[in-house]
Amino acid sequence: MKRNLATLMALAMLAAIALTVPAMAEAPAYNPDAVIYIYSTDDPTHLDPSLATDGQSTVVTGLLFNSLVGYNRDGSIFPDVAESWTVSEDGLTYAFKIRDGIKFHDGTACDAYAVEWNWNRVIPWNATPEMSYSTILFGNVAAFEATDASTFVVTLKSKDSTFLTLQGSSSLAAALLSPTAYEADPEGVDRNPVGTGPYKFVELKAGQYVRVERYDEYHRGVPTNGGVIIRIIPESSTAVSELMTGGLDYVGSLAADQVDLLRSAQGIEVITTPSQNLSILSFADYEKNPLFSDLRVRQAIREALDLEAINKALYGDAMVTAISPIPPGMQSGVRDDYVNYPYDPDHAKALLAEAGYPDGITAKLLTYNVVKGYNPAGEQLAVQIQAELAKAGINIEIQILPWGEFVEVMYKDPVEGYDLILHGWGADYFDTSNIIFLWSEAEAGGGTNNSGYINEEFEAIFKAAKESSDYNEAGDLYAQAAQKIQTDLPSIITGHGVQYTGYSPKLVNGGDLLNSVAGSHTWQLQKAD
Amino acid sequence: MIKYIAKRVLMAIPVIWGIVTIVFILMRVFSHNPAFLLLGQHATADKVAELTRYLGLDQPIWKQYLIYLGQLARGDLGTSLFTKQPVLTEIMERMPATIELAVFSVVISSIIGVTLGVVCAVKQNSVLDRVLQVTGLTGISLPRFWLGLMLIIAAAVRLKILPVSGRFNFMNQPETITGFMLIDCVITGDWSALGSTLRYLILPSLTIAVASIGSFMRYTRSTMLEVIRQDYIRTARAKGVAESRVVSRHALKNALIPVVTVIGMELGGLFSGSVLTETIFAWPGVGQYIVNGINNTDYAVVQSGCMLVAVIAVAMNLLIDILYGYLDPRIRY
Repeated sequence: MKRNLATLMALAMLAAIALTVPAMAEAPAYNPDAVIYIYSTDDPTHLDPSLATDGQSTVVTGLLFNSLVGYNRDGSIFPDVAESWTVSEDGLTYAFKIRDGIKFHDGTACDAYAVEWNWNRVIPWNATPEMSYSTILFGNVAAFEATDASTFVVTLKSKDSTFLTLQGSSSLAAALLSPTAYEADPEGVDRNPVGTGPYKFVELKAGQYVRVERYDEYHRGVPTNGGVIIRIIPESSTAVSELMTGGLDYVGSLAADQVDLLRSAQGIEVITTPSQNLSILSFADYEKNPLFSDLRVRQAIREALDLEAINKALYGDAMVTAISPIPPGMQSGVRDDYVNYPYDPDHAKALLAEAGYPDGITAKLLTYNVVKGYNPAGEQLAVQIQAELAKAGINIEIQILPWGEFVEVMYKDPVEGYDLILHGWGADYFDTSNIIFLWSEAEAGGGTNNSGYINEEFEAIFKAAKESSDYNEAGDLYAQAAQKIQTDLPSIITGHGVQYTGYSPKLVNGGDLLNSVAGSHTWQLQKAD
Repeated sequence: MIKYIAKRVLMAIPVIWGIVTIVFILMRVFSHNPAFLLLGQHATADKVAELTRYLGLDQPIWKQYLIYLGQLARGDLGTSLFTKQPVLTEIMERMPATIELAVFSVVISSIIGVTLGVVCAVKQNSVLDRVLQVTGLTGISLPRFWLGLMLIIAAAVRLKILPVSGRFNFMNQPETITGFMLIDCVITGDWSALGSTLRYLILPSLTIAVASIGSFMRYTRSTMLEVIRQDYIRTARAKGVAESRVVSRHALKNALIPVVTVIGMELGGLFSGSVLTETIFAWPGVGQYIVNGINNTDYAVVQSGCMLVAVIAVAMNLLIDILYGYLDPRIRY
């Protein structure tokens, strides 16, 4: 009996060990000094965040800088350099308490005075014309002051619920740069940036790489890896090959065919993040266009387009067909009950006949020749739209321009020579205002509102949403504004590009961190040898 | 000889000035305003107008042209509108990578191409000759972009015997002294980094060399065939000189003179950068830099980049002519 009991106990112990071993094997074993390899398609244009506008720059500045608030992985904000804040009753004054003991990489203090110095540099009335994000991030600021080393007070021109979210743009002009480093070498700071972020800048080798190393005194904790090397790899298929052979640790913005390739490759994980972009087919300055000023004609175009089929044919699973302008990855206004005009080519023909075009119409469409996150198929999207509309008797003439020329024409006031513009937008930050503003009156006439949509009701809703301090209320208002776009049809939203990221299994917590809508949390990545 | 070189250099000045002027006019008349790209996706008409003024791009074209010529006269190639860095510095940072790749590729392709060309000529109309000719033609016809990607998939991804892209291994990074990685490895005596760096050169060089081998082979074959029909070759054979010696000493030496021109022109072209190869293999050369400048409408980069290409072409032509005089005693300047 005793022997049986001993045997049973031994078996139980073996079973316990057997159960424990896999659990132990799963525990992350990582090298805290390992370097993370990522890539960018070109050298950063600027390392001074106040001048950064492109992804090649922000992929680096995002590692080096902080701002008053930061973004959680779901896009909500958390106190960063500002430990806390209070808002006055009228919603116009924000008093930030600056976290004690934060130091720039050069050892100088990042206190309220440093924040004031930075704001003085990028505030619209002092900013240079190259500081593109100055008016976006600080346009509503009336005054600011460091009242002491730990208090920074900001007064707004009008109540603005997006103000705090905007201040989380730590890779752009909201980033805090060392005043000492700047004053020592104002010109050189663009190539030798000094911030408070998790990494210190080491070197930039033109056309080759940017190297940053761990900042051990980072105020949010010591980074869990030794540094990051951003390799410059212009060709995305080369980057995918590097990922497959261990030369890169993760690659974002994968094309659909690359996703299929990586999913079939051994040892590479592919994850998706909710989209924060939108592909837009706008009716250019439609109120001034006799053809499209009639809603029935715009509706006919919408109903003649089988967007689901177009997206499936062009992108497979890499595009979500839009039911509203608000991408699924935004903070608020994401709903599934938007009312849309259905795909109905017969009704589209009837609408055209009713509007006085029984024999169909001819329209000129402008598009671009590059691949974008919101349209990985480039000009092919225009070709598909052309083919689809032809079935309903709508003849489309396509003009394809290189990106630079395309942007120049798109932002002309008024847009001349084109009836339709196929363009898109990738959100700068997570507040839904960064999507809805595209159709605001302020952006009409040479701005992003190239359809020239001016609607009082829409403006009132948008203003109320921006001023609302209630998150849910703001979300409802943004949803109302989005529904107006779907109903009034200044533009047709064709889809939201899905963001795919492939990563090496060496990144033991890659699955948790790389699916974040808030972008890189590289400093928390853990890499095994 | 010095008088001849001086005359050629003086003659090159109007050529380079002409190229600079044409590129300047083309960039200003036919390209878009760079302010749109500088401002990113918030490039509203008002902001663009303000930045255009700020950058001085609203000035009359003739005024901008005179300012640019004044800069060139002072040896200033201008500053990138985007990075704010001097264009000369940015080009010089990339030049060693371009030269290293060009020289390595041309050395490989010359050795293989000339050797195969001689074999083809000696074995004229044989099966070997025909096979090599078809292979050479295939090499010339293969698109570099496709070939580069195939080489990466085969050698790096599948066989894992060579690296995918870049110039060196980050775990074994050579110390930078001259910017020429191979030379730097030799100077510092870092033999392990030298071996590693050489491995990074193989795939991009091969991508370039495949086309050049075919071209050098066909050219060598035709000039060799011409030479081996000459009377002095017949005389050498009649005197009983061994066939190998006839080919290597008597025929090849003379046949190589026109081949030098082809090799020199190829090298000159590669010194201006091999855009597709640089793009696929993430090779940090000047070709890609100039193409990026064109895409961004970065005026100074494109203008100075094109001027550099012109200078290289003129210099290589001059060098080939001088070399010609040295190799061929019948030519004297």
